[in-house]
Amino acid sequence: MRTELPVVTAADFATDQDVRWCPGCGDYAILAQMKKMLPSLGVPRQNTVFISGIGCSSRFPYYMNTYGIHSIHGRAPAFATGLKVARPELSVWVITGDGDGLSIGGNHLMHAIRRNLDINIILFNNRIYGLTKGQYSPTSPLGKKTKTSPMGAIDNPLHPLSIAIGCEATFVARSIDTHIKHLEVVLRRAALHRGTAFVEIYQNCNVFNDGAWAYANNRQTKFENTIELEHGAPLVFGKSGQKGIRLNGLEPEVVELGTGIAENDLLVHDEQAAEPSLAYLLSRLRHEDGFPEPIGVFRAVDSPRYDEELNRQVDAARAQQGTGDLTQLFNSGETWTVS
Amino acid sequence: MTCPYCSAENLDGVDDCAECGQPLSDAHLADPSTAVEQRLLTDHVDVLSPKDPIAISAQTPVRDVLRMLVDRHIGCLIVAEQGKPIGIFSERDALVKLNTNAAALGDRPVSEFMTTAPETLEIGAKVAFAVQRMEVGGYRHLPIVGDTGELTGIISVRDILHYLTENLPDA
Amino acid sequence: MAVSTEGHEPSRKDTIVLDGATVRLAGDSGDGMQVVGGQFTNTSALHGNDVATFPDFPAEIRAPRGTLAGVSGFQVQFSSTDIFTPGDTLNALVAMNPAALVTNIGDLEKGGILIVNSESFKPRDLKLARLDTNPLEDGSLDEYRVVEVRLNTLNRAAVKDVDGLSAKLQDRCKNFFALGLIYWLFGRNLDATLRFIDAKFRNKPEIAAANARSLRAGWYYGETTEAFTHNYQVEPARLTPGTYRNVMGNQALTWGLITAARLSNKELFCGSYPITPASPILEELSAFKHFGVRSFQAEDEIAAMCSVIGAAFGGAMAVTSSSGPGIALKSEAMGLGMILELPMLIISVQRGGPSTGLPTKTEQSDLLQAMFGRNGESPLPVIAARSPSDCFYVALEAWRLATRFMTPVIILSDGYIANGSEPWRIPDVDELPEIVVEHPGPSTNGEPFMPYQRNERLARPWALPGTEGLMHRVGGLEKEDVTGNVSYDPDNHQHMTNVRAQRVAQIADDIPVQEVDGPQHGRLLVLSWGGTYGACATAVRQCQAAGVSVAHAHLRYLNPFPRNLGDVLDRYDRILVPELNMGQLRMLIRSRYLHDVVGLNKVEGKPFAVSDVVAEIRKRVE
Repeated sequence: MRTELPVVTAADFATDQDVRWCPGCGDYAILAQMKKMLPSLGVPRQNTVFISGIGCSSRFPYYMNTYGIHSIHGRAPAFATGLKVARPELSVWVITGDGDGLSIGGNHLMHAIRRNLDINIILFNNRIYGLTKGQYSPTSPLGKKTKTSPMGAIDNPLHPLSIAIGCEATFVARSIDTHIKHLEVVLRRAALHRGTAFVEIYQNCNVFNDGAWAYANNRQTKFENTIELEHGAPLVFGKSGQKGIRLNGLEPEVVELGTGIAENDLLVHDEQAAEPSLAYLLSRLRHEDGFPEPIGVFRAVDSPRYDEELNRQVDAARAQQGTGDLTQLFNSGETWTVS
Repeated sequence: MTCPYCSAENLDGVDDCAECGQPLSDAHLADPSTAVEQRLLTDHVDVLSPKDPIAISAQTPVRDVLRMLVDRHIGCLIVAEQGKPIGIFSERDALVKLNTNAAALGDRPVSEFMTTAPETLEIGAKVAFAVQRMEVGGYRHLPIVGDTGELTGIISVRDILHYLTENLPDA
Repeated sequence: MAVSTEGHEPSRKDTIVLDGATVRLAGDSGDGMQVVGGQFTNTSALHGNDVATFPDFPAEIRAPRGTLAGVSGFQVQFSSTDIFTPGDTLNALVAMNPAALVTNIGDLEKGGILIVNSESFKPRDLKLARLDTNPLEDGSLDEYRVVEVRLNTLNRAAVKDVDGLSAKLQDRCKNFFALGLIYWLFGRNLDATLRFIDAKFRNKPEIAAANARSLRAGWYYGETTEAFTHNYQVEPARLTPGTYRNVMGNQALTWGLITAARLSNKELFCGSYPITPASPILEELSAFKHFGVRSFQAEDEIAAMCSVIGAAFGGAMAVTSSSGPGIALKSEAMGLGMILELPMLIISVQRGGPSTGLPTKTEQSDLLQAMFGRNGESPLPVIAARSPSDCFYVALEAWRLATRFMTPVIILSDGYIANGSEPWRIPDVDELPEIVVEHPGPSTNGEPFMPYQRNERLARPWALPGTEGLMHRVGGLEKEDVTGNVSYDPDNHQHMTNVRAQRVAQIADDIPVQEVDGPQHGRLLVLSWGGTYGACATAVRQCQAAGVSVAHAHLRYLNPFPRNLGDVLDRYDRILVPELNMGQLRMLIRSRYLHDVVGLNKVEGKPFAVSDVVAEIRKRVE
């Protein structure tokens, strides 16, 4: 009998399949961090399943030496639901993208989140349809010119975290493909969360939408344009930490510390707030509106999980009614005998 | 909901009781909560003592119609053909349709100004029905008809008011 | 009239013995025809008759009382011989109001007994049924034996001595009065229904007492009224010895699924979305948690199918249930299930199409959808139930095939079977054959696992997540055989297409040969499938009894066809395919076997009448 967990390394998670992403694709970084982070969870490889839909992000399972399903466009959360309900002890990851998850898959994403299944949903947001070569996506900004929007996109974009928070996700986080340490930490926290962990990763598609997140991952600008969330800490950002976010009524505003404004005046982050309003407010801080965009864990609360509750009901039914007896069932009600 | 016939608990909206099988599709209506509501649902319009209606022919000149309304202190007249109501002419019709031209229009037949195909009620209808018809249609009068559609009476909103005050518990 | 309060004596009037009879009870949905129809069926079954039923639910929910859209009916045929259908024409019709009369009178035979509640034929009721004149007075019912019963008054009189009943509750017993009357008419015993009343209404003794009185009063009405000079009797049938119960199709299917799970030592997962007429399957399974059933009401049809694939990947016995429009939505996911080569069941309870169609009416027009409704070359085994009780066995067989050949299997049922009922001989659970399912064990030798390594049946291994050393990825892209790696190689694609087709085709070696009822060769073969079994079997037997050379082959397996089907077809001059569609099986048979098959096609939302099939047989045999 094993008394200690077998040691697995990142190399164990590598498959022999050639990786088919474009050179320079942000997905490589995410793959590397996932491979690095997984061993530390202590979950045996054979108990891990990656499920994806369709899209560049969705090639992910092929490159992980675990069990995996490369399913159909937008439906990965539904596959994950069936698997997790039948096999609640497995560690189930859903890998999706902005098109797969928010366009065709919007419905299933919403329901998986509201059911709070104990799975991890990682959404690679590159603000474009990469696999099909460059159409705009539900997260593309207004005015984005692409093959299917030559005069600029006229659809108002969705913001993944706002959607997730709207569905009352119990764990919501954001990271960036180039922030490798940060990414590893966020993925680990997502994995450890009991319930649906929804993570948006700003991912760069260097072929069809290069630089979409430049403001956030550029070494020079990132400190002004992003803010690292820390539970219990005031919202402070800037290269030397001299700026902050304060609430003016219900409206957030950027302030300079020092001129009469101290850290005490700033908004303090609370991951565990029961109401998602704070998390929602944070998800509305957008670069184009002059705010730094938060990264890190927005929300982490505890709530009943669908897979557990479903199995609990099955156990309760068994306890109440006794394990089902077919002969008894068939002979219930009126029967008659012909001799 | 609880089955009113066998007391088994059923999910809302099921067609038949899961236990005894009796239909529940008509059992979802709320029970009357006061004595007045109960009476409205059980009493038939005959308790309102429908009055004998004054029926006139469609050719009756409007001048005569107005005369009758005034002389007999009534709110409306039924226009009938072979005993069946085909129209109704009320004070409101006089006000709205004749208005200040009443004198000039006096020779015209009432058929030109009546409300045709009036709503009617059977003698067996419940008072609650009468109230609902008047409320929804905005009428103050309802002709009552018998089995073969022949005019047998008329009730007005005043009759209902009278009935309600009679049935309200004493203050 | 004196109403006996204990037991009852047989009728003193003359009794005519019939081979069988068909009765329909029709009224407004609020008239309670379903419960008394069920009672009549039960009593007849206990009496020993073979029975078959068909409930006819209203087209609209909560249609206003007395309207045509609100008519609800229950038909039962009961017989002293083996029967397969709920009957064509009616021998007796009970119509509780004019709307019920109008919608059902067309099915009553000339000279048939028509029992009406004469007190519900007031002008208002006639108006709601769109009648200008009263059929009880205008001579339109002259060719029937009309029995006008003042049901409201008689019922009230019967229950007036029971204390504590409002007028509304008194009137509620009317359906039992009607039941008592037809019990008398057909010489049925009141005991089973008296027991039912006693048991179901024990919490309301006054209602129990009233229902019992109405029942007896109805019986005595028949006994004493001059309208009936004699009654009828249908003797018990000679059925195979055993213990029986009535089952409805959806119920039998559900029980078959949970039994299959037991027999294969699996836990059942059901992912479905509500759709008429399949919703009862999800509903029943939701109540079977104590059998270990995990039921999931998905947000839509597609999620339902995907959840089934996810659960199958995890090793569960996974099933989804739907109808035409839902199967259409599932097609992409079904294609994935096919290429993943995982066992799962897809149940299609067919209804009137196309598009939203006629949700509460029956049809068989989704056969080609089951065969071809996916992109690419995407063959799936298809198996069809022929009657309510057959659904149980079809479920077992479908799961056996799914696990043995590692493939999704489509089960076809239809609204008629799903809602109809018939006696089912209860099997001995211990005698049912085990369904053997194997999973590869853990591997520690470090060699990569080959997820598409096939056995002699071309089935790949069902390796479950959680098993050490067998990690692999599956997906919808074309894959290399054996390794399962994504492959766009041209030869491989042809090869995989061939293998997938062959795996399904050779199921023919594992299923029974096609049997034929009647001469082994001759003038005409009636070839049928699905719920038309009853009408076709009855029609063929009637013709055979009249000396017509006709045989009957009823298909259970639609894909693959039984291995001897071509030979069978060769032995007849002519092949007739009656189907409730515009020629779908006919198309498959013609293209596969090159026979000039003719069809009897009807798309009316109703099952075939035996007489229709008989007429066509006679025509084709000339």
